[in-house]
Amino acid sequence: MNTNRDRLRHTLEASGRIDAASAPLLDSQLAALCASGALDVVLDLTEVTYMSSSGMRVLLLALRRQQAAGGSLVLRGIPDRVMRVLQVAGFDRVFPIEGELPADGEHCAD
Amino acid sequence: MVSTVLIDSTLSAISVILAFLALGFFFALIAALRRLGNERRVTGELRRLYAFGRELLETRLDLDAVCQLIYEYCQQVMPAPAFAVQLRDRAGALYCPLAMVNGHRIELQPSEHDAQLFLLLERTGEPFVLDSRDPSRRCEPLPIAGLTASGLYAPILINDQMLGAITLQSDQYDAFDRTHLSRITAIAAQAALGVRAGMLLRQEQQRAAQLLLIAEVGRKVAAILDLQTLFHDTARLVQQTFGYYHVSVYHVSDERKSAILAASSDPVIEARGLAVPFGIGLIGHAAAEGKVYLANDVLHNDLYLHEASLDRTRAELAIPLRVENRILGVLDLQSDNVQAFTDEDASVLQILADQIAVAIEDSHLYMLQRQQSRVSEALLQVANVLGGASSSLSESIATVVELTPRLVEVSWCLALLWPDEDRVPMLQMAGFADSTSRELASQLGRRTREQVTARWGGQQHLVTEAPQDMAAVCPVLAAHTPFLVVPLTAHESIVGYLLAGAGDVGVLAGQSVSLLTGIARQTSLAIESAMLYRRMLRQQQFENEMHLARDIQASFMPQSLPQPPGWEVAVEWKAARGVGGDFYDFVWLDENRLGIVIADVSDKGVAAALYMALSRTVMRSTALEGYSTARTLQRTNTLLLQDSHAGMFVTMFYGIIDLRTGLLRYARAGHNPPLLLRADGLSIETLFSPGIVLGVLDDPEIEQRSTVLYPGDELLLYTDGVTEAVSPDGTEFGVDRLAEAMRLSADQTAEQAIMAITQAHQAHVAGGDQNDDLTLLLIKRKPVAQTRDAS
Repeated sequence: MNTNRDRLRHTLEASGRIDAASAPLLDSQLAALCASGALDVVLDLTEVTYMSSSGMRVLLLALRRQQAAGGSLVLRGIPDRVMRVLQVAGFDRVFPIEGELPADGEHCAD
Repeated sequence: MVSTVLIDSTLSAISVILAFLALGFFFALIAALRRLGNERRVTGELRRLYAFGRELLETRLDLDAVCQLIYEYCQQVMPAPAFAVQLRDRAGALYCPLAMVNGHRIELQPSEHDAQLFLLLERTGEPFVLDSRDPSRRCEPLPIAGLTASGLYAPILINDQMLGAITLQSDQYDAFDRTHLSRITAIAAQAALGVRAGMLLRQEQQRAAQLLLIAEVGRKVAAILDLQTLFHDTARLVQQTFGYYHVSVYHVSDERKSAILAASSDPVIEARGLAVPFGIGLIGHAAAEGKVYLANDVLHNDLYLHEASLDRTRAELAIPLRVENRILGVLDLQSDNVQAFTDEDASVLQILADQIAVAIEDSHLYMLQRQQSRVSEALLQVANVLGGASSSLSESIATVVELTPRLVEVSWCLALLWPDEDRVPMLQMAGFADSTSRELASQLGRRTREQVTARWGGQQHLVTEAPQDMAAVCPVLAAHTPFLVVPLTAHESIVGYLLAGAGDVGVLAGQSVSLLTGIARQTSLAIESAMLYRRMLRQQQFENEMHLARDIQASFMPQSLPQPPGWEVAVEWKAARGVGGDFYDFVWLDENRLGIVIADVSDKGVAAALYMALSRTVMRSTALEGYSTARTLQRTNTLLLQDSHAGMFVTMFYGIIDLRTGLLRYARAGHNPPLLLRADGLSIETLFSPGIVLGVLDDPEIEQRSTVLYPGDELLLYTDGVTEAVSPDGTEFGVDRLAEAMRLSADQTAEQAIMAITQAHQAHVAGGDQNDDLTLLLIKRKPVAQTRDAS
């Protein structure tokens, strides 16, 4: 996982399987990024091959953390397979996805 | 014991000498009678000579008394203002036991001139008279102050061996004539026996005294167990007792092939130290060969090695210190007199050397034993500390670190270790000032195992000066060189380091190193067992938690399956080792309407199991209130959100079947959409409906939809553990394979179908780890024909 700092947005690239075993590592990276003062975070999932419910839980925690800090979390480059999992769980409506308009205003209004 | 034997031998020597003396007087009297023969004075002189002989006997062989008697007798028969007796000792050196001038005793040191006179007397074997006026005489008169006019000289002879000479001098010319010559001959002959007896006795006495002293030195030396003190005291005692110019003791180093100076009677030389290679000088030869080397005139000896600080040395005796065949060292004696050592001295001093050697050997053994017992005692103490069952690892390490400076005599000790996967090390130290300890803690307390291991590696080593990178990592430690670094290992990998430092590098060698290594080894063992214990404890804790979670989960599963007429219900539920939060449920809303629930909590472990229990209870009670499926899920969501559960959520599918009509109303909250296989056994519908997982959003959008289950249709509810299970080559089982397995078992009963689907799933996974829960719930509306048969 790499972190690139743009002017304002901080991009974190995740790769491989995000399951019960690897989810805590992603969680600690996202938490560290938030703690370092990054408000707007982009999580790039291009290289992710699998996302379990543990992984989704980490994304959810990160979203809440960023929102609590007054920032945001945006997902980028979601592979189809991961997208299907997100859609099944309904998370495609929870996470802002780069390049898409928010599916429903209520989720991102706050 | 040595001294007793010597005294005995001395006494027997005395009696032999006395017997000889008595016999000697008898012959001497006869000789004197013959010589004096017809002379008229014979009676008086014989009487005096006889009295002289008797008195000589009564001197009890005291050399001084013998000389005194000779003097007195000479004064009676031929008075002269100057008188001297000069003798030659065993080594050949001249000495003067008695010299008298005008009735007063003076001290006289024999000169080169005396030596020439001696040679003359020895050659002639007869007394002679010298006159200072006669230039043809080869010898100057004796240098007795002012008495230079004439002299009478007589050899003291026994069996042609010259013991010494009697000298009479006068300040008058022609003071001595032929009468005097014959008288002095008689006196010298008479005196010779007494002198020889006296000299022998004195030698014996000297030797006895020497042996007594040696016994004394030997006894003192034997009592010293500390090697350095032993060497030092030996040199000092021998020097003081025998009055040699310089005495030194060397120990032999086979490694360096040298004799190394261990002690010297001269503190300056001792402090400076000296190493003599084998085969160099007398000492080097004695050390290499174990034989006595003697140079009685060092200026004319090729082996002698000149030592600038011992300029006065004229004779040297190097005696090996041997025990059995081993050469332990060399006792070196140097005298400022030429011919100082006789063979007898050498053999007598060899006795002393042997005693010293034995003492050295004893001391070696004692030191070795003491070291060994100290080491084992110290290690025992450490073992006791580490083995203490009541204390934690960090307490044990702290005690060991406290104990080490006392056991090893280092000034400080420090243990830095990473007993767990922790990045923060455990740090214990002793022997530092408080401020230093704080600095060390702040500098070392942040270092990871990788950082430190990269620097110190896996070998024990001595750090004498801090390299640049070390100064950067821990400047305080870099300022505390030298110190020894001993790795601590557990399970064959480095888990930390034990450091011990002292102001002097010499302390960090030999015994200290083996002691520190021993302490480190024991500490390593303790760390290893502590790690094992912790791991076991953690594993146990984990197992316990998993058991608990499984128990919780299982206790919330329905005890039995509903069996409504015209319908078949079958379930396959497998909890994974890690335990997910799968559950299913059936809710009878009334006699015709059956609620079906399948759900999956997002996490694992006890927390997930408890969340599952909560979800199930909330869901069930909400369902019983009779709301629509979507509304039920929404209300459940609201209730779940009231408790915060650290991002935990649950996916859920809820369907209500009207058993009479087959109408299915359903809603989905992020759960995998169920599959509906129509009676034709081919077409499959996916019951997708908009809806997000429960426990995330305040007001989730969840829609209710409906469909109808006709006879022969079957509905399969499942969790992601089914579709996401992967084969060994990483392929997911997936929805398509699941659907295919349904089709293949379409004509079977629900029970058979679910078994077939499970088998297909297992075949795909083929022995791979099942790392998620797996739940399959199949509801089949019996085909019409079967229904008829049944009813």
